Amino acid sequence: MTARIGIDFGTANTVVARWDEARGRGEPVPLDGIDLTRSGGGVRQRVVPSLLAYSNTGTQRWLGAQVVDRFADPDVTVFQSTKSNVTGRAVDIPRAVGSRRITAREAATQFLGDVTALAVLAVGADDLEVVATAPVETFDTYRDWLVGEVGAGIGAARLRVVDEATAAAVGYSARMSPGDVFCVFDFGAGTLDVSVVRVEDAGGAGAGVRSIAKVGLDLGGNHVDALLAEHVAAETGLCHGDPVTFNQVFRPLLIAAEAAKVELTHAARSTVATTDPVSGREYRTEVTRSRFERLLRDKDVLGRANRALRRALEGAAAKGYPADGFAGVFLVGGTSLIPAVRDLVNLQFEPELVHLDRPLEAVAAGAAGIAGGRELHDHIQHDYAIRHVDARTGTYEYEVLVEAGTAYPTQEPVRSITIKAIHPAQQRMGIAVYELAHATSGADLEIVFDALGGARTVAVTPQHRQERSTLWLNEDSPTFLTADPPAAAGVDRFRLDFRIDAQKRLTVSAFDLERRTWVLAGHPVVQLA
Amino acid sequence: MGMKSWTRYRLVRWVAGRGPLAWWAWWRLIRAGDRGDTEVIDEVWDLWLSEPHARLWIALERWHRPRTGGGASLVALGSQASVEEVVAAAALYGSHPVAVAARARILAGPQELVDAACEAEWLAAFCVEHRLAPADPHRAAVFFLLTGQREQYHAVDPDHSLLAVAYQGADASERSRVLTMAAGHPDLARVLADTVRRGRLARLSQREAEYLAGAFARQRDWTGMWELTRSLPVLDAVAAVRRFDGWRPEGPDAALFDALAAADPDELTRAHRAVVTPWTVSARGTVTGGSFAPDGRRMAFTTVTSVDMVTLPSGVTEHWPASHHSEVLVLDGAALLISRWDHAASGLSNGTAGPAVFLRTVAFGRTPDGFAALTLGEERRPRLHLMTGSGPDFHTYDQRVLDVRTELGIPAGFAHPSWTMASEPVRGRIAIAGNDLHLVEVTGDGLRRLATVPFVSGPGSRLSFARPDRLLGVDDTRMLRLWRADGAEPRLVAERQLSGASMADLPGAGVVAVIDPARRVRYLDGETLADLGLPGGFEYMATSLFASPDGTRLAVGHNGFVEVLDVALAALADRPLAATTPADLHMLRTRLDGDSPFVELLHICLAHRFGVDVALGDPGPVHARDDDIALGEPA
Repeated sequence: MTARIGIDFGTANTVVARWDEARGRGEPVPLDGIDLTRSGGGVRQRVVPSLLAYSNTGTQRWLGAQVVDRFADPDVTVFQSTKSNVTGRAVDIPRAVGSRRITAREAATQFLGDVTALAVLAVGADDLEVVATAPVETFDTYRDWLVGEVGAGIGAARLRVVDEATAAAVGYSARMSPGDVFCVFDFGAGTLDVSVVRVEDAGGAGAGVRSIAKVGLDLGGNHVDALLAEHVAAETGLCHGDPVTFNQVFRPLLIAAEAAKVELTHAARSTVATTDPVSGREYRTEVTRSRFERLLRDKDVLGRANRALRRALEGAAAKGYPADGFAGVFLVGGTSLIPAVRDLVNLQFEPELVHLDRPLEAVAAGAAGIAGGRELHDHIQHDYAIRHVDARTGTYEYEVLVEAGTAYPTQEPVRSITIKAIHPAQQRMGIAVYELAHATSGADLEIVFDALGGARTVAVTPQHRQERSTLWLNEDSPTFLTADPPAAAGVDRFRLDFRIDAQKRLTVSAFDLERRTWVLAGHPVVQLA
Repeated sequence: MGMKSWTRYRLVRWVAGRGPLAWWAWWRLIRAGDRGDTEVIDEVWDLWLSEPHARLWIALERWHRPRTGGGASLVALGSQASVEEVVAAAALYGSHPVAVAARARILAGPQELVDAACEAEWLAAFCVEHRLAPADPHRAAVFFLLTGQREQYHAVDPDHSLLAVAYQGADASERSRVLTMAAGHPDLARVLADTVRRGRLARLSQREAEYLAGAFARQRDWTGMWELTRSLPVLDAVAAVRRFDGWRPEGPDAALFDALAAADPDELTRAHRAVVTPWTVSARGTVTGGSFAPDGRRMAFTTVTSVDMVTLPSGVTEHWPASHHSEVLVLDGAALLISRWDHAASGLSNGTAGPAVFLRTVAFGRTPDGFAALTLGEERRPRLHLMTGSGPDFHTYDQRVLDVRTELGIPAGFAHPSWTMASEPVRGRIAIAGNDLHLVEVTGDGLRRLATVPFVSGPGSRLSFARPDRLLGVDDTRMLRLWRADGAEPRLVAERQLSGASMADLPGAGVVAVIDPARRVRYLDGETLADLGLPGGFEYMATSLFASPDGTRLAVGHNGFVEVLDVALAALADRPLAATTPADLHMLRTRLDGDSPFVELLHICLAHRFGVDVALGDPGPVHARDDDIALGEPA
């Protein structure tokens, strides 16, 4: 028997769902001992906290719910929020565990491998198809990690990776009819993804979804926790001049801030408090919901979320799908439970359209749906560009080849250009392809865990954001065209036709304008996301 | 009238003693201070600040008047004091009460006071003891490192990213201190190397290069070291490549590695010195100006008595006598001279000066098909002579003479005394400045005014139009202005006050050269006109400046000689390879003459880096393929 499961590895919570053929939807898989139920949207949902702990002797480890009460245990090293380390964006400082040094990335691999193994045991199948999810903004890195490191540990199972926003949309599409357009507002602990999708009739296989517009931000509940913890640190005079103590206090403050954030979803006030384990000094501040919401406004959390939502809606409207034609709007992710965030969404839509329905399980349920055969019509997530030299300034410029939102595969070229040599008698002409991210939408701070287990926030500089905004995709395996005879500088030499194949790869066909012959046909250049 | 100085001196010191003399001195001082005798008060402050005698403090407290100039006295009195005064009082007075008061202020004070205290080396121990640190995380990271607080440093900057950013903005001395403290931090060396690889450090000291290469070599991290090596300045790369202990990269990088390894360091160092050191041409007297030929290979300069034409770098080839303060413009195959004595412009060729071409000439410049000259005729009426042709005989040129005031609609009767002009040789636009600056283009009907911007020309005013998008001018107040001139209207982007009118625009090297009040050459940033300091190489007092038309070579006139430097090449010679651009390779190709092993090796490095780059073809319809068809005209 083949089991089809979907896995949503989240920054705070991880969910495993199984495709239920009879009910035609994904259902959470109970993982007794490591999962727990969390309240959200008025229902209790089954999640595995994304936590892994090692005993300092290195002989024992704990997973998920087993870790929740071990934060204060001095003999245990706890890894949390490891998802952000997988991309390499947040710095990953190895921590001493017994005689070993373990990075957060290694802990993430261990955690997800353990959860997957337990899920396989729980479903008891002899054949397994797994669909795992990855964030839109950092899809490539996650996919490589999932397939290369996590996937290596799950034996003969087939592993596919889809982006979280699409999975969430598929998760809700079962309740929609072909032709319906709906929006998924997925605000998790690590990222915000806003998607507008259309349900399409896929014939006998049931419905599928096609993405119309998608916007992602490196902004999530962890960011909110950090801002709240920073606020408390400032209010209580936590000393910046003693970073060792600061980090040791800031980490429990983060946990307290997360608890306060959850409490403030239904209470008018909450207390954030922790104690310096060395000096015994207590750091305590009461936070009202109005103060919390002012913090979200002042730090532009609500503003950025609002702008992302509007960009997605404008993108959909530009393609002929205005918001007043939506059949529904679904809030996903724990951060969507914050009343101010819900208000922000409610302002954009008719109240009856907005649903907060099993927000923590939706992505995994959708992934299970994709594993179960629900058809997926995806599109390209980012802009991709070719690097060239501006002859006037002698500096690099980037010409967009593929725009975000392009459907694939493409029969006709998505872009045709001609290139010319810039050096006399140039023999090799490189095709350098870059992924262009939205530099202004990146995170402005990140949480960093130090070697002693302390935590602090680190500002992301515009310089780093700029560097992240262009990623040279084929730096290690560049594509070259050989000009034979050598190309004269400044004279058009090759015509390039770029297409996207069914495997989501950018391909190039090259026509030598001097020799009047094709020198490349459908040559894969890079994998797109 | 106040006390005499020796009286004050003795009284103040007697007060600090014992007995009746002390009390008598005390009484006299109190009376003088009560009268507001500032010299007495200052004298008491001076003694108290060196020896904090209680009796003196009683007097100072009674007067409650700070010492002239404030300083530590403000801190002692608890008055408003600047951050610098508080920090100086805390740092310089040891255990003196004023230091105690200043330190109390720092502990209680605003963060800016703490930040300044952390910058003061003498307060480091105090700051460490009291857990003070700069608020800016980058400064804090440097502070923790430099004060030896390793644990705190690792807590605030676990991945060294803060330090890497701070390092980029630090001066040479701080960078040197950071390197010293960084010894034994291999991770830190990697991060600093990363800043080099990303081209973020414009310059690298030899010690930095050695430190970084040494750190990788000790770790035997050859891949990391190779990444660093190919990012370093060429001389440092050649030194670094010798540390690889038999390792060699594979693939296309192997050829670059071999080229670096094969270079003779001594020979390369000599060739490098020749590139970064100006060459000298002797002159007969004070050099007043000059001009490069369009190809940059010949140069003419003027002295008070002569014009010399030089083929670079071999030496003088032609010499003409001239009256003092002449100006010269080198065209293809000929030179054009303006004599300031009679403002006559003459053509010079084959060792002789031809007859005057124009009279009362004030400026001239190259145009796409010849040259233009601005003359001031009767009643100082400006005329533009457009000369079309080539070769040394200017009488064979076609000449158009345009009356500037008529062409530009400047009201009759207004005679501005000083005019100047510059032309750009690509699009042929001309900037003419009198009471305003007019940007014009030449049409079949005359001059067409494109724009007018505020600018008053005065004696010695200069304009430079080195590139179609760059117009520089020094006005009658010695204000240097830079306009972006590629649009319809010149857009002022930067301005800076100069002490003299000399300037040379070197867009090919990204700088503007000027002469400072001490008559030394200074470089300004080519885009912002910010001061970049004194460039190396030019040691003597300068009398004039001029640049090659491509904006890469600078000539500096002195009394008795001219120094010429290829500024673009000299700057590239010391630049980390990671900070180079495709434009540098393009420039370097024009410098390949087979004479300099340094230039040859630099070219190999840049060709390796940028040799496969491409440019986009012309936009518009893509070239038709063999099987494409076109639609015919409808019937």
